[in-house]
Amino acid sequence: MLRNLRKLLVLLVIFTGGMGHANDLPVPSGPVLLEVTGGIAVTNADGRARFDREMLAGLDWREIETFTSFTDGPQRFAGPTLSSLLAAVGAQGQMMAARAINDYFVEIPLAHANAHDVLLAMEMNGRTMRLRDKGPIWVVYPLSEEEAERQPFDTEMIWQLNRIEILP
Amino acid sequence: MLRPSSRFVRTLVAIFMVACLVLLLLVLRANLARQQEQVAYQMSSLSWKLSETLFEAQRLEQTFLAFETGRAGRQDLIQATELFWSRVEVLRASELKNLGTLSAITDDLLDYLENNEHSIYEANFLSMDKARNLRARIEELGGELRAQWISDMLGDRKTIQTTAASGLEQTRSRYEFMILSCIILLSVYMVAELFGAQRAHARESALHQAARSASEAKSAFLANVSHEIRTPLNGVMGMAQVLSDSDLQPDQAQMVQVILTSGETLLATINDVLDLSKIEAGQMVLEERPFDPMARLRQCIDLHKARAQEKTLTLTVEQNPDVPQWVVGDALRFSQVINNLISNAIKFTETGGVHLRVSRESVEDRCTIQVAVLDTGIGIPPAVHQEIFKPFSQADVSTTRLHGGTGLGLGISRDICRLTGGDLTVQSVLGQGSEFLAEFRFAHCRELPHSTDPPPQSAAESTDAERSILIVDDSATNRLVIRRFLNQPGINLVEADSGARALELIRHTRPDLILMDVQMPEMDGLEATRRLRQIEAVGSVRRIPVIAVTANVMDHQVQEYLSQGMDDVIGKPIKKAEILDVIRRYGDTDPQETRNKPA
Repeated sequence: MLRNLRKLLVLLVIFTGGMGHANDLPVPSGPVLLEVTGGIAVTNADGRARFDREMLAGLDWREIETFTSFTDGPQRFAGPTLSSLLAAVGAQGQMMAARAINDYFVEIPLAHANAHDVLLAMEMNGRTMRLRDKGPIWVVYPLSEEEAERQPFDTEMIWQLNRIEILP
Repeated sequence: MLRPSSRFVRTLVAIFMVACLVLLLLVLRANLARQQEQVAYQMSSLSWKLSETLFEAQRLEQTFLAFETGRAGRQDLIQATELFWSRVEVLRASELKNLGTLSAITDDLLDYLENNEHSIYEANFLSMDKARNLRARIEELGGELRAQWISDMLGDRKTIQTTAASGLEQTRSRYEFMILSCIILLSVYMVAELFGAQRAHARESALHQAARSASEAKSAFLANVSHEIRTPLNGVMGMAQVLSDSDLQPDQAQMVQVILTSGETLLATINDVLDLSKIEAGQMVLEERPFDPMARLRQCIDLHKARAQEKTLTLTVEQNPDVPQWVVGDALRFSQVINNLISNAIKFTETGGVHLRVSRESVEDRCTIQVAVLDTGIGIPPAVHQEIFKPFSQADVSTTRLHGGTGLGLGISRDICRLTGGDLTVQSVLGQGSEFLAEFRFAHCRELPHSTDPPPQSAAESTDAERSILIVDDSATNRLVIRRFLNQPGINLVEADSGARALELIRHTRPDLILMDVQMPEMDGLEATRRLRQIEAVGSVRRIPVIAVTANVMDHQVQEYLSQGMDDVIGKPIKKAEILDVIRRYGDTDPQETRNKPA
């Protein structure tokens, strides 16, 4: 039932995609992994910007090796940079409210995107991240081993991310 | 010098270590504060992880229930399981893995998930029964987890805290080690300093002791030397005096005068040297007795009148009306200073004269007498104004031969003035003259109408009846000297050459006065006097005045003679006037006669 509803929604989005403001952003074809709302200039579904895996892969995709306070030893992550996402939606604001599938949420300053090269990790050590692996999207701050020990961004490194709201 | 600088360095090092210690303590404190924050964070983080896990377990149970009642689909179940699974993974990766009890349950949970992954995710069909079983198991495991957490958290928080803080110990122990080493180093340093100080103190004590015994040896030596010089000098002066009294041809008289003058200078030198050593040892004690300062001053002037006349110099005195009649102090030392100043003034003046000006100032309670001695002499260049007070110096070395003198006088005079609380200062212009200002502070002044200070009379005025005087001395020369001095009508002399002989003679002849030498072999003068006093006490006979005649005239010695029963002391070398004066004073045979101070 839910699945049918979703298919309908996708069709609607495709048809109504031309209306509204965003022309640069295509409509997602696969399951929506991330929805961005709030102070954005580019949308693809009445005031929101929705992304599927393919669209996210089309942004500035990077591969990094880093340490985190949640993992042991160096890990490899791959995903689009937060900056490229913000640029793709034309984000205008100071903060963003990031929400996870289980309703955990945290406010992150937009400045962090560039200041700390924040990555929206979607692959870990070559494998696509499942929910139980903290996927589909984990907000990763690249850190050295010593930095990771001090646990500076534990609250900001939200996993199972699915919603972003750009705040003024 | 090496020692002060090494101490300086050590002090710097100690201060540096203290600074390091303070710094380390501050850093440790900051570290500790940070660690406390971290531990608190870890604790709350653990609690958070656990509570999230329990929360997701609850949600999974609800989703199972919804699935069983048809309100939720397979996908919802899968998502709920995934979310729960991720929380269990996070829990497993946390510090709780060190806690045996909780990590066992976590493992159980993971086993459950892995075992049933296929059924939940992949199997084509999930039956209600299966779902119910799965739900029951989750409820069970969730309950266990919660129960264990409660027991661990509330029952044994220490273990949880240690687990939370497990990573933080290292840095702290490093700092603690550094602080401990600093403290140990500082303690070692302090102990070393203490030991060093102790040793230094011991060394100082030893040095002090050595200095004191050296000083005592010096005093003893000086006393000996003084005695050894005075005794033969007594012979020289005595005979010279006797000789000068006899019939002499003019050139002979002149020669004898030279002998006398030289002898007097020698005596003066010895006295000066003894005074100086006494002052240096801090042993000069000033008497406090009433005397008439102006009378003393005039006596001093009289002494120098002849010499001034010889050089055709005037010698005058001017007295302010407020100068008191009586002061309480040391008359002898007062005269000594005045004599010294007048003598110097005359010595260094060729034309003009010497003028004394006496005035008084009352400073607080004390009575200050100022005596200014002005001369129109050769003057003293300003550069040497301080030098002249030093021992054995004169303003111009070449004048030593011309003017003579020991060169000790001014130093001693200034010391005496300063001992009273005053000072001796000089103002002078080269070629025009000098003014020496002596300031004496006396305990107090009195205005008494009556004089109790007996003026020294010339011995020739004695008009007593015949008296018998016993002379006790082991040296024939000394006895001869006294015999010559006392060779006049009215005096009958008896001689004894030892203490024993003297006691014998006393029993038989009962003299009116005894002149007793102190230093004698076998029984000395003191012993003889003691025995005499015993005999007198036992027999209740009249007390015979005993005058000690000795070269040992240091204060403590004089006190000893007086305490042993002697009535007075005459110092050798004996002066004729002195001995005649003593004889006149003890002319009364009244045993109640009070003792005067030694002449």
